[in-house]
Amino acid sequence: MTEEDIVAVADIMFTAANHRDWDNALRYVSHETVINIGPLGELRGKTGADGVIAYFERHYDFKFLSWQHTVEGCESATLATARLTYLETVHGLPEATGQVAEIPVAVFGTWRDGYLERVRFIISFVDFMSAV
Amino acid sequence: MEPQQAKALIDTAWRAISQCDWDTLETLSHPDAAMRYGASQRVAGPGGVRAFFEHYGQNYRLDMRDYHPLVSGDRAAVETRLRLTYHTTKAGFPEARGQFAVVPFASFITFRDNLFYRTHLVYSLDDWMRVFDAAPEAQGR
Repeated sequence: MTEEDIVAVADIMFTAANHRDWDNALRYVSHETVINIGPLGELRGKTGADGVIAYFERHYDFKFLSWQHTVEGCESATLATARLTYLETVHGLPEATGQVAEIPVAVFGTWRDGYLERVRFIISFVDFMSAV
Repeated sequence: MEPQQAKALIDTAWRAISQCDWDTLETLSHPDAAMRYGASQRVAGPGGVRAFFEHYGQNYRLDMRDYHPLVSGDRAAVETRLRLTYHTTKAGFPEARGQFAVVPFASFITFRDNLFYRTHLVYSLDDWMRVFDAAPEAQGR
């Protein structure tokens, strides 16, 4: 994949996620993809990705408002802003009453043979915690 | 900005933070620099950036030496495994006993005039808070 290919694919993934088009959002996730995401730890493959989606859809409504990619070689980094609506209480957090916050999300990807080999999410809940 | 030049600038800054060398850190920011952290917090100018890290340095050691930069044009992203040591008790927080944790830490940078111009830091508060319950550094490695 060229750097331009990676930018195009990453755009597709964020756009598809906003439309809950999970077939397209996960098209570049293989069964071997390693996923690291804060509250859920390390997961693997499409099954892991399904777990991430299920967790966030259960507790939140979310939409990516903006994103920008930096790509060098086979690696990418994306800074996104997500609008999060807190719908169902997460254990250890205050009661969900539909609170809304815009939070930054960092996504680092390593690409191989047209697929994500590894993807790491860093989600800043600082502003979300202030909102709830 | 040439990629190697950008990476050298990042390396100098990350080493300065790791060594509490605030004088060097201050020289690496553009006069109109701004640094965001979280969604809405912001500091401005070389002095603001220095004060931000100096403030954290009073209670924590920020070892930023384990990092990986990506550079494209005048922008860069850095994925850092921040080695965080809580060395001095912060008012209202648990007693400091040298607790140690590794915190994933993202930085997105725009350069201008070969200096840091815009920086956005992203880290998880949950990950940061884990340091208070962690073992001291020698046991935490």
